[in-house]
This record gives sequence, structure tokens and C-alpha cells, in this order.
Amino acid sequence: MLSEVLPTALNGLVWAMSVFLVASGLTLIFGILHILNFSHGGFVMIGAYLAFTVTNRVPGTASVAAFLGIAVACAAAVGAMGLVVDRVVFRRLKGVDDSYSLVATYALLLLCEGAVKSGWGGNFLSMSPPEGLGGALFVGDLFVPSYALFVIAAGVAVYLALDLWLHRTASGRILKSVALDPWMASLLGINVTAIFTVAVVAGFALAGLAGGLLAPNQSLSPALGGTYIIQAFGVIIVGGIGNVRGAFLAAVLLGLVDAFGTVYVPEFPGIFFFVAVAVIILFRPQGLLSGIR
Amino acid sequence: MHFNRRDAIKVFGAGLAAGAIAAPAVARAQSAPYKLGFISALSGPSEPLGRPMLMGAEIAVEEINAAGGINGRRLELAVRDSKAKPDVATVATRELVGEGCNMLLGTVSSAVALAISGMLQQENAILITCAAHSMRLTHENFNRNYFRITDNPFMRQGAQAKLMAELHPDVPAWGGLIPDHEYGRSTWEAFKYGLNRFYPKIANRTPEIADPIFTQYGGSDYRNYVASAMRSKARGMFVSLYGGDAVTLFQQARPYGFFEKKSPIVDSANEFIVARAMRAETPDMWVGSHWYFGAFKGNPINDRLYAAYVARTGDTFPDGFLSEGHAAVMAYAAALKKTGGDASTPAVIDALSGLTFDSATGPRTIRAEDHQAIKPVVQYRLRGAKTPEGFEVVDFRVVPGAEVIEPPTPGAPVQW
Repeated sequence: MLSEVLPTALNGLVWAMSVFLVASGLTLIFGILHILNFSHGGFVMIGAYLAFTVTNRVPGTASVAAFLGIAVACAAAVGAMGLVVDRVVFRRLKGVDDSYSLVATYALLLLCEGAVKSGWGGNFLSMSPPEGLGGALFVGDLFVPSYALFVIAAGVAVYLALDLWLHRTASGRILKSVALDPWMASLLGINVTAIFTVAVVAGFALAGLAGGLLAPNQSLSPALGGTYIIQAFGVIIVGGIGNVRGAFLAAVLLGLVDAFGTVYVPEFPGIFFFVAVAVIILFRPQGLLSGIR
Repeated sequence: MHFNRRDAIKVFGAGLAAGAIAAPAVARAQSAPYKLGFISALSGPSEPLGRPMLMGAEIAVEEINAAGGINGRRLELAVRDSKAKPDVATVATRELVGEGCNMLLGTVSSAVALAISGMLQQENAILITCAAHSMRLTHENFNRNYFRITDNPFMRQGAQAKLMAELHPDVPAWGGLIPDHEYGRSTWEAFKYGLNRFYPKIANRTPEIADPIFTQYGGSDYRNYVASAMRSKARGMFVSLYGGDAVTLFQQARPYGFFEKKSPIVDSANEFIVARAMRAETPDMWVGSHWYFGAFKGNPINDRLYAAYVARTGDTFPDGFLSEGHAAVMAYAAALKKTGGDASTPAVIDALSGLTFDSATGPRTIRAEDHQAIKPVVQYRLRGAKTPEGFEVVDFRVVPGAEVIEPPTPGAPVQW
């Protein structure tokens, strides 16, 4: 029994942390700017394709350190794209109806898909984990792929870093104050526009980082932008939109529900995530936690 | 009424004038090209399947036109993108019919094929599908205007089960990783039926078939499905996940030692799609295909098609969709020759029913009863290798279609 429960829980956590890595930037941007960025998955995809290209073109990138370095470089590159998107698109969306944000960010998603198709083609691609993460560890009878453990560790590390930044640093507190009341923050001398830009760049950098770290997790194709995005939206809605702690909690909860549902009720694969989201929203429409935290 | 000479001259003059106007129109009709409507996924996740299908159709049209056309008339292709979505496909079908294309071909997705098939009689059009595998198309949902130029799951998975009974009589325990949709379930039904049919005959033993593991469609994480498969007693594993889902599954399965513990692996239909993505990491497996150029060397149509593909793309491993787009055009060409140039829907349907025509896989016959093509079923064994492509074909087998085809029961479900 235990030999079935532990691997299932572990696989649930891998799913949870991979979705959290994608959802973290999405919820951060919504928490500060109140823009639901439908193009987020597209920028995760660009991060993954950049990691694929660098790994395949640059010799000596097979180590874990190089893999991490490439993921950070992808974060920087996609963060820079966030700077452009903020200037060109997001600043024009302030104070307009939500439907404009939806159309604008969906158009950005199409742009991402088109760019990937032009740059890398429409065929499926794949990337192996770095040397040292391709195998598996044995903990007693428990068999754990090293890369799966790495994804869990990466998700927890990103969560802790974000949580520390938002709650324990001055810049994080300023960010939260702008999210809560930008007008009052501007009266206190805070450059609200600059803070918005910081949030967008951080959100996009998180998308690039997620793409770089998760590139070996699944196939790459111009449809990758949509692969995680439904789950990521589910996680941020259940967690409380804009709440990083809530997103982390929701990812773990939904990951475990989906994993145990898949194993113990195999006739309905993939349905438990949606059932859990629906049930939680029914009883807590504001999400598990609310507000930016 | 008195009809004098002056009236006669008037009538004659009017006749001459009408003739002068009508004659070029008649000449145009006689020399106007035959228009074929191609409809398939040319964007979105199924684009890598639809594009080679289109290329195959284009190569066939070019070849036929270069040889003088059909009955002295050229072929012309009008192309529409279905995006693999039934609603988009039905709109595109009406557009093509409105442009005068009553002869349609293409489609990757069964859902698209079923949607178009349902409107063919109303639109007075014909559809030859090149890849859609739903058994319903030639059974429950059969209609006279629909034709399938390629094999179906009964044939494909039956041939795969037969091959496994021949090559691995010592592996009677089988399981499956099956996507939870109609195509996935019908491939499993067909493979299971094939195991029960061929293992007792060929391996002289009854197969032990585990319950299949149904997987999510379009998922990002298949580890729990892999873990369930690892716990199963089945040694042989049939996998009918497709495209990116299959790549993700195989990627995530590798660290579990899946390919060491589960052997042989039978892949239902991924052609070279998985191998092109995974390269050296490609697992050793038998793959079902519409066509493998290496299996039909010496067939002039095969050799010309392969050479044209390499010249256009530089790639040396075309997917089988190429030959199916090509074959659908060849079928229409043969049918138009048979009708003597009559391109009306009833005439072409009559000509296609029971037609035998030549293709890259050799002669194919379209069964008159249910419009299912009897064509060879192709399988090859693939694995990762240190080649420029990153993989190699180790072996291949061709099973004559007549050996594995189901009895025709148009209008009724297939009898498993």
C-alpha cells in the first residue's frame, strides 16, 4: 500500500511544482497590475525553446550547473521581453475594461506562437535533462527520478525566494503597497509606474525561468504555451488570484488530488483537477487565500 | 405562322451569334482543370501531419499535369486549413464546394472526417480521407460519398498484433497506455482483438491481456501512468499516444527503466514524429505507419515520390502522410479516367467504388461495399542511433491488407 501511496504523492508534487513554476509569474502580475496575462504560457514556451537552442548549440552545457545557468539566462531574456511588453502593451491597458486586456494578451500569445513557429518550425522537439539528473535515486523501495526531485526542489526554492522578497524586503513591501492602493502609494512618493514595470519584468522572468527549468519535462511544440496554462489558471484561482502563497498551497493540493484520483480512479484520467477546482470555487469563490501575499 | 426567307436569315444569324458566344465557353469547359479540394490541418498541433499530406497531393498533381493531365485536362488543387477543428472544417468544406470542388481529399482528425462525412450528401460532394482512423467512418456512419484511402485500426493494430505473435511468442502478457478518446480506445480494441486472434494461431498460446491504462489527452505529466504501467505484470506494451503526448510520455518514462522492463514496445502510428523529436533518446520500438519509403524501393511511384520529397525538403525520412495525400490524388485521377472525364459526383462515386489504382505502396483497391481501401499495412522497428538523423530503422514488415482487413459491414459497427 505504502509502495503505491508514496510514489503517487511524489508524482503529485512534481506536477504541483511544475505548475507552480508557471503560475508564480502569472499570479504576481495579476496581484500588482490586475491584468490576467493570457500570453504568460507563450513566454514560458519561449523560455523553453531558448533553453533548447542554447543547450544544443553551445558545447559543454550538459552539467547541472550549466543547465541552471541557462535557465537563469532564459529568465533574463524573457524578463527583457517583459520590459518591452510593459512599455508597448501593458501601460495602455491601465484603467480600461478587462475585455481589452483579454484581447491584447491573447494577441500576444498568438504572436509568441507565430514567433516560435517561424524560429523553430512546427515539428515536435525534445530535450534531455542534464547529466546527473537523467537517472533515478532509490530510497529504500522508493524509486525517484532525479529530475523529478529537481523540479520539486526548484518549485520550493522559487516559492521561498518570492515569499521572502514580498514579505521580508523593503522593495517587496513597496510592491505590496502599490498593489493595495497605487494612489496612496504615489502620494507617498513611490514611482508607481516603475513598480509596475518591476512587477511585469519579474513576472516575465519567472515565465522564462519556468521555461528553462521545465524544458526537459515535456515535448516542445508551438502548442506548449497552452500545455500548462489551464492548470496554472486553476491554481491561481483556487489559491486566490494574485496570492503567491495561495498559488503554492493550491498547486500542492490540486497536484495531490489529481495524482491520487488518476491512480485510484483510473477510468477518468485528468478529470480530478477540474472537479477539485470546481468544488473549491463553489465553497470559497475568493480562493483559499485572498489579496497579495 | 408564315416563315419567310428574311426570318430564316435572322434565325440563322442569331444562331451564329449564339454559337460565337457559346463556343469558347464550351471549349473552356472542355479544357478547364479538374478542381480537387484539399482540406487538412495546416496550422496548430496537427500541422506536422497535415503539411506532408498536402505536399504529397501537390507532388501527385504536378506529376499528372507534367504527363499531360487527365483526359487532356489539368488537375488543380484548392487548399483549406481545417485547423483539425470540425467547425472550421465544415465551413471550409462549404467554401470549397461553392468554388466548384466536389472532389475533396485530406483530413488528419477523425472528428473532422466525421463532421465532413455527415454533410457530403447534402453538399453533393465526395471526400477521400488520407489518415482519419475512426472505424465509424466505414461502419456506423458510412455514407456512399465517403472513401478511406489508407488502412484503419482493425487492419493496422491487427497487423501489429500478428507481428508480435510471430516475433515474440514468448511474450503473451500485454498491456497498453491509451489516450482517453475514441481513437485511443478503438486502437486498443483492435490490438486486443488482434492479440486474441493471432497468439493462439501463431504462438500457440492464449495471451494474458491486462486492463489498459487510460491517459489524459494533451497532458504535461504522465509519471503516474508510467508508474501504473511499471506495476503491471504486462511485459509487452502497446502505446497509442500521439505526437507531443507520446514524446512527453517516453521522456518521462525513461528514468523509471520503462524500456528495460517493458519490451517489446508497439507504437500505434507515430511515423517518424517521435524519433525526429527524441533523436538518440528514441526508444527501441515497432511503429505503425501509412508508408515507409524503404519498404517499397523499386516501385517507380514510391521512388519518384521519395526523390521529390527529398528535393523539396532535404529531409530523408518522410512521414507516411506524404504518400496518403499522393494516393488520394492518384485515386481521383484513376476514377476520372474511368468516367471518361465526367467529374459529376455520382459518376466519380461509381468509379471510385471497387477501383484498383497504383500508388507508392503498390496497387490499392477501394472496397465497393464500405469504401475502405485494401492496402498494405506497414511497420518498422526504430531506435536511437549515432546517425545524422539521430535514429535508424532496424527492420520493417509489410502485411498485405487483405490478410488483416475486417469484413465489410457498412452501416453497422465493427464486430470485435
